Amino acid sequence: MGGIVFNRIEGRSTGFWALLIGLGVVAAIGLWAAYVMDHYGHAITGMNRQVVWGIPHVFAFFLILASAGALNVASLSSVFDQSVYKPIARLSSFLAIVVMAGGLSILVLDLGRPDRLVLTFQYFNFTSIFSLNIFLYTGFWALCFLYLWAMFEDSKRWTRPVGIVAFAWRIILTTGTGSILGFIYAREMIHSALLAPIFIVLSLIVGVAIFILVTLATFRLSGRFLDDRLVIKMKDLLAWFVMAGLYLVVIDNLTRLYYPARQDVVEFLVRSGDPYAPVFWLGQILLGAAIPLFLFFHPKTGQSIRWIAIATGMVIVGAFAQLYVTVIGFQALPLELFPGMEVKSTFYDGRFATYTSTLYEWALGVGMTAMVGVLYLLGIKLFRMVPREVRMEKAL
Amino acid sequence: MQNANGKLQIVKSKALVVAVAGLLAMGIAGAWAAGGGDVREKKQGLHPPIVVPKEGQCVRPTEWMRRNHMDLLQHHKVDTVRKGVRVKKESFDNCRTCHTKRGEFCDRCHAYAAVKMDCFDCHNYPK
Amino acid sequence: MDTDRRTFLALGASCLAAGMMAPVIRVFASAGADAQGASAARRWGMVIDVNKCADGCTACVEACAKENKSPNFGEERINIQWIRKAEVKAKVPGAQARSLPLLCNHCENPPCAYVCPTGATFKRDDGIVLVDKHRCIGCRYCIISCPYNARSLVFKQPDEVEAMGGNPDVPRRGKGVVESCDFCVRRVDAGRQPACVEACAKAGHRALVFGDLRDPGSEAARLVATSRTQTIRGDLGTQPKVHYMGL
Repeated sequence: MGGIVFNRIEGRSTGFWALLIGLGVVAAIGLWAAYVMDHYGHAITGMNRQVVWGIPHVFAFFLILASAGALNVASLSSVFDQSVYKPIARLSSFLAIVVMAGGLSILVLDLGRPDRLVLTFQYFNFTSIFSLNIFLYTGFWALCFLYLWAMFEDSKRWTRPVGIVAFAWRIILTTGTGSILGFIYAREMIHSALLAPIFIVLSLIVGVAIFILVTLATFRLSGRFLDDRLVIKMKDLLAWFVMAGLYLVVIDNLTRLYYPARQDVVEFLVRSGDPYAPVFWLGQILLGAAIPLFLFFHPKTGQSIRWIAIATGMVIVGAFAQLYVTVIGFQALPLELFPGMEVKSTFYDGRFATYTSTLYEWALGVGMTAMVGVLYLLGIKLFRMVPREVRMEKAL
Repeated sequence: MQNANGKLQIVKSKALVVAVAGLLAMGIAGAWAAGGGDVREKKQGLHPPIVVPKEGQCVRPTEWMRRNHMDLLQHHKVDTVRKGVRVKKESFDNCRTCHTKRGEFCDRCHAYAAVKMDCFDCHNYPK
Repeated sequence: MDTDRRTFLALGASCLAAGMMAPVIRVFASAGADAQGASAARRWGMVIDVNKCADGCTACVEACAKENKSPNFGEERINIQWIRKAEVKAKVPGAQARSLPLLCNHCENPPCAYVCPTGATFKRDDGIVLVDKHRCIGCRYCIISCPYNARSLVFKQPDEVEAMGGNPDVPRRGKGVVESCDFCVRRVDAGRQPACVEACAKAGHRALVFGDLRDPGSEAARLVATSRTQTIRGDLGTQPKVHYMGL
């Protein structure tokens, strides 16, 4: 594996520029939406006094988890000695950096007062998971850069130790991200020690899934050879992650179902929640797990790159659905101020809240995701990150 | 700071005298340039004209306030909000007993110096 | 030559440092001893007698909105109420609904202050939970964490003309920050009662009693000590300082 030749992609074709400009326009629209939201206040979004974290937060969680997960392949290569992944390890670390940039910009632009961001670096509150995460996110960034540098230097001395620290860091980071919600004891639907592991697995899922699609697109569109067997190997990994995720969600909800006081939460998730129950079944379970698992393990579709790509896309949609249900669903459930009693007020007490997302929120989420695309395209055009070809030497 | 080198000591003290003298000169010049005149409306060197409709002394010397009012506001803000220390005489609301309109006072100078403030997003102060 | 430059730099640096220190020293010297600030010997709290709270009476809610200039945006979706009336009813046939006010509980262990990334939400020395609106960045994490539905985001800038009227002692709010009941902290610091408590007494119900829970002589402390009071979701361990009688 010593002689991998990395180079820049040429990036001169009309297709490349069209893609770059297209994504740039979408990103600009996202920034415009953020400006409008800041100018008029959150009143112009669909958020309300019950659902205060909307679609932008779903995108932010999604991209932050995806960023940590995108590093998987690099970790496999240098921490777990899976040298088959070495040719695409640089891409993996770079993708982690740019995706994190997208997630964090959404989080910041969706603040009520984004202009006061500097205060978060001026004052810390160490009982706040948010405050801790500021260190985790910025530290992760620094580590990924260091890691990328070590890989560029091809320095055995640095790649492994930095890789190990980065791997430990991303586990802590996703634990921190899950604990943003998991520690909130006021909300029965998310208050669970399992939420951190659920988020870790979710990050493994979206990270690998996005990486598969991005790698495939990069190689195919720049006319490079990517060994099918490597994609199939990543697909097998993804399938295991999807099953682990499914398992955790099932056991988390069974635990609630066993507790009479929490049965209404499960009821809400699987039956009455509108639109959370349909999104849970159709998005999270069917698109996110059942169909892709079938396609991954079917002897025919499981070997076809086209079908793997389709199933991987479904997994991504399913993961987004899962975050939608988790992040927004718990806010729609009324708080139990008087357990076992009926409560009524002019203030949403005892009532399910509704949330209708607006175009601004989607524009912000999609726009910053497009910005990730812009950064990625510029990155592979400017730096030697994509191997000329990836051929696996021996059969697996 | 005992002298291992006598010459250095001399150089240092010479430089010190020059620096102190320079600072003094600057201070005197500044005070002279700013001092005197009618408080009601005046053009002060780098300032656009500001209007103070009421005669009298501010909670700190004018010259000091001109440079440090933001520190005073910030300090009282923290004390008041977070510790409950309420010094009525030096409260933000009390500013307007003399500086009755922010448009002729705060805004004018801030617009000139291009320093954005968001005090009045929340605080009541007649325009 | 070298020495000269070093001397110059050192002098410059000390002048700069002194210049920067000067205002700080003057400002800090100015914090007069005439104002004491919130005292840790106190614990402000409230006792609400549900039996005295009248159905359909919203005197406290109206007084609060007037005192604190709560903006009425005309949309339930984004309206702000620091105190609200709720009807609570057992889930059995023929159960009687009880009317009671709900507000920020000023918890001894406030989850909102625990999660606030900048420390904008904090518990003052005398136990009042406040939002430092200068420091709030509008992340809304506190709203997520509050078990009592007591916090609101200011969804848009309230109208300036309207806000200039009303109570001159209370600032109006800027958009994008979070707020909640502050026990009318300006009144409390001036030795007065919160607006809701005053209004309730004025309406002849006297269902709300406000006072120092650490002062055995205060009516609030006496009620907590001698009557059967309970707090909302006391099981969560937040230790609310709003106690309910006859719940």
